[in-house]
Amino acid sequence: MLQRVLQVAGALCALGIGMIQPASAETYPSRPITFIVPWGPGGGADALARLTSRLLEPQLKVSMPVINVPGATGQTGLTKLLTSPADGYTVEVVTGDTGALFANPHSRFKLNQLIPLAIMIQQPSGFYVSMNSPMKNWSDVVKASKQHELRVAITGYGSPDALTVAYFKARGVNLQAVPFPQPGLRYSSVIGGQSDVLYEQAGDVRSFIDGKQIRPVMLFSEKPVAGFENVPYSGKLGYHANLPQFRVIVVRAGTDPKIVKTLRDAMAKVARTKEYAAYLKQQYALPTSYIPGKESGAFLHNWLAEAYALGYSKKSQSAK
Amino acid sequence: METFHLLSAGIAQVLQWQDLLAMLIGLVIGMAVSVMPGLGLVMGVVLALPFTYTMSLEPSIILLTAIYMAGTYAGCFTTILYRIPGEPMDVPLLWDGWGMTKRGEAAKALGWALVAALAGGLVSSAVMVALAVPLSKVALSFGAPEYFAAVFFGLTTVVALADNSLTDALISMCIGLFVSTIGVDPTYGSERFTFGQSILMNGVPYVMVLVGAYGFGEILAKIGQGVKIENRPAAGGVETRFPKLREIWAIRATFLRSSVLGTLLGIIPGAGATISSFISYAIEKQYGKRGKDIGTGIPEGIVAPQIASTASVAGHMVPLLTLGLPGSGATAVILAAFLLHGVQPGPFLFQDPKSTLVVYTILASMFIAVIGMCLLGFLWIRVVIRVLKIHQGILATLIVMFALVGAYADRNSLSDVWIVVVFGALAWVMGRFKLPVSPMVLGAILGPIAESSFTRSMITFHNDWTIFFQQPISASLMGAALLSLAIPAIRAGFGRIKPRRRARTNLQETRSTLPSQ
Amino acid sequence: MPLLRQMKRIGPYIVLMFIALGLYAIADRIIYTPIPGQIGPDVWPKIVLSLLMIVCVAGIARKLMTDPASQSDQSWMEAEQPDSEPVAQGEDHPRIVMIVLAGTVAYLLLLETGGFFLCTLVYTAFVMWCGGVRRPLVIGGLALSISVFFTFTFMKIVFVALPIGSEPFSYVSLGVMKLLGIH
Repeated sequence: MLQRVLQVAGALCALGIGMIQPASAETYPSRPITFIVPWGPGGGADALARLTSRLLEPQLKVSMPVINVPGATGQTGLTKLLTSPADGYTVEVVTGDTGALFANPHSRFKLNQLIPLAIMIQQPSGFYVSMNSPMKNWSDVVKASKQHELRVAITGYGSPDALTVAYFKARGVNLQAVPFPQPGLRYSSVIGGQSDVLYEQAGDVRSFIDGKQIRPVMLFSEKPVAGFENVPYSGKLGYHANLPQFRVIVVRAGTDPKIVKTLRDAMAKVARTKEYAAYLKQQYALPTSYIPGKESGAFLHNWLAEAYALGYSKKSQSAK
Repeated sequence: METFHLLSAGIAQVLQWQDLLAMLIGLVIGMAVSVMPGLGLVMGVVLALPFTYTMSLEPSIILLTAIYMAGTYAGCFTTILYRIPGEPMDVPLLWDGWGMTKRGEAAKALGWALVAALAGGLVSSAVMVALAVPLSKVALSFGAPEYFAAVFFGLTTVVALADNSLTDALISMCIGLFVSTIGVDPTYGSERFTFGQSILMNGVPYVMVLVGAYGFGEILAKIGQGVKIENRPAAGGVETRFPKLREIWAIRATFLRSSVLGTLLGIIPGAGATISSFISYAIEKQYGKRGKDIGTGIPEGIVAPQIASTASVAGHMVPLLTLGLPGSGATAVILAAFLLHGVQPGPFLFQDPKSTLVVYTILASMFIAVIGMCLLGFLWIRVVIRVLKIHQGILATLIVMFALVGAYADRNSLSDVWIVVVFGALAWVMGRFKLPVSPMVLGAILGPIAESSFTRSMITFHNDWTIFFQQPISASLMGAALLSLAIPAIRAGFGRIKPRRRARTNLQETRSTLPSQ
Repeated sequence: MPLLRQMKRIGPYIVLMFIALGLYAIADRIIYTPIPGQIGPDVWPKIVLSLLMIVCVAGIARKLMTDPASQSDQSWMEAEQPDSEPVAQGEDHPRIVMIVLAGTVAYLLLLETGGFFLCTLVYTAFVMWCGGVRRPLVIGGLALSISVFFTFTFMKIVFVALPIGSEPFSYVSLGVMKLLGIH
């Protein structure tokens, strides 16, 4: 009954107001595009989304409100994207932490549920120790681990952090991963001495590095990292653990190719702005971070293969 | 000296117009909600939360803290003038406040309440500012076992001090702790108790439990009570008359005792303003010079509970800022506001100069809020008290809408709104069964911290259960927790010595559903 | 009927205990990838549920042992206070609460179809009526202003995408948004 009354009332009002254009690929975008961030505000993913949305708005001529849908290593936000229509009006930023879950053979999510629009940032991760720790460099860490087990503060299991720790453990470095989902607790556990080593992206702990509270002992990269010329990197030390953190902007699989192209073209313009370049530098990101839409699929596949090799293949588990 | 320097930098920040405006709005909201019976200050803080989304961090926290602070004070007006306790913490004020009003000393009673709030707020803020840095240094050495012990202490305190039987409080707490485990677990990412429902996948955020139990549930209870307020004639005017310095000096012991008590009780997670207020009143009655006369309308009976409830605010804010531990409903919401702005409160806030300034701005804002609140109370209470004239049905509708839309706004999801409705209904049912609601809410708030610190302790120390008793800090906290569980036994002993009088049941009933701030 | 009265007193505890037992069984079947030597995600909930069961048993035992007439679990904060006249005696209308709850459930169910504005208009009028406001003009006016206030505040100022509903109701929402200048 109520429904019926509402229907009639709705129809009457609609007549008064007049028809409103339906959305289609030709007129896209004709209304605001929702930008999902699967993490809390203030973090790296949030900062990227807010910057990108601000730079995209003049290109697409619609507003792009950023909404934060945090929870479960980004899976809550991902669920929200996958339950929205594939019409290009919902985009999301996916990070490496969620990406690593795709590498798990038992994952609930698969990469082919998404279409990447562009890789926006790649940052090397690293191991850090407290400034007042007796360990000053990587060989100190290896030596100390012979005496007793060292605790590494990570984000959570299944993340690149955990895979990397497992990789070193399999190579005789006696490390134990301790998960700290809150970044604040993770950092203070290292500064306060509860954890011996921290796994993190340099950009996220920049204030602690600049404030001389923690020091990097190794960065995970095949090449030297700009801004950290004196810090050894995994490629130089002979480790095959180079998983960078990345953040990619995606839409749901099944979105009209024309819409995907519109969005990818707009992203390409964003990548050429001065603001974007300054952001990458501030974040210690690779200057070549940006990977346009078409090639980003290949990047993700390679990244996942690397993550799989690091964490799930027989070889990585048994090598001693 | 360092602290003094930082504090003055903080005060300079607060004096910017955005922060001052936020504080003023917060004080007015806090006064309005605490004047209205049934509308607690926690609800005020909760309802203001969505509006902080678009504000920057400092005004957001200042706004919420001001609501919290003013919420512990303004309830005294309705209590003293109309015998309507605006908040559960105002109940102890009733006996002596109304006693003075009956003798035509309402203005004086209000004056005592004002002086008490001022003293409690300023003393505890000062103590906490002095303790912030040392506490944060201790906090930095807090590992998982220490965090667990602190939370365990908080949980046992709230159970031990609950205004009901120990069993019922424990049951309520277990429900809260269980609720916090629903969803994807933070360590392994496994689904727990979701029953395949996507609505439960996101878990049950404690803010929604709070909004449900104290916002929506409170309104249900009010509607069930027939939302009516008799318009009693005010006994005496709304003016406030200050006590003489000589009179204050005469009861200096009460001032000292209650300030210390309120601040200390505030530091314990779980013991909120209501519990502080009641305990302070009870102690005054037991040990005060004129303890026997308490309840007949003497200033001590107003000063003791009022100081303690206002002092508990600063007491609660400092564990939040230094440890990231929310000890009460209001501080849990303030924590949520911090997280919304991407800031995790905890010892590491004190590690970098920029966030240290934020902390001191918030601490400084408490001083100004205390003074502002007393000024407002003195000048504007006439206006604020008018909210009592709004029809309760309209007020209830507005609050329900704020609760539902606020819940939706948090994560843009209807499932959060459903959670609010479910917990509102649950709180109402629990109230009918006389189960206390506050331990459940506290269980839901502290549950995630309890679980993660427990699991992390087990991981770090290879499942060694004795670790909680091995380090001095965690061992003493665990000891204090076990000791606090003995309180009900001691209380029962007291009960046997003194013949009990039949309590006024309707007050008791309201309290069993009311929040502990 | 002493037995029936006893059952009434311990009934809620028994129900709670069985719920806890059932949840414990579910906790046993949580799927996760175990890490050798570490406790799984099932341990903490099991501790909580065990505590709940123990407390329920204690509650039953206590109720069975104490005499229902003596109020041993009386509030301690109240116990020693001087007498005064009762304050604002409340009435008890559980049925109205049930109606409000049912109305709220209906509101949430219809929100995605009817859109925020229309549903809120009806719902706020309903809650006010249940809350004892009986003047139709007041209800109508207030319902409209509350709906407009929330639509405007949350969509324009707080930037929350409140549901606009599906056709034909979405036209109303979009129309209201246009009138309020929300893009």
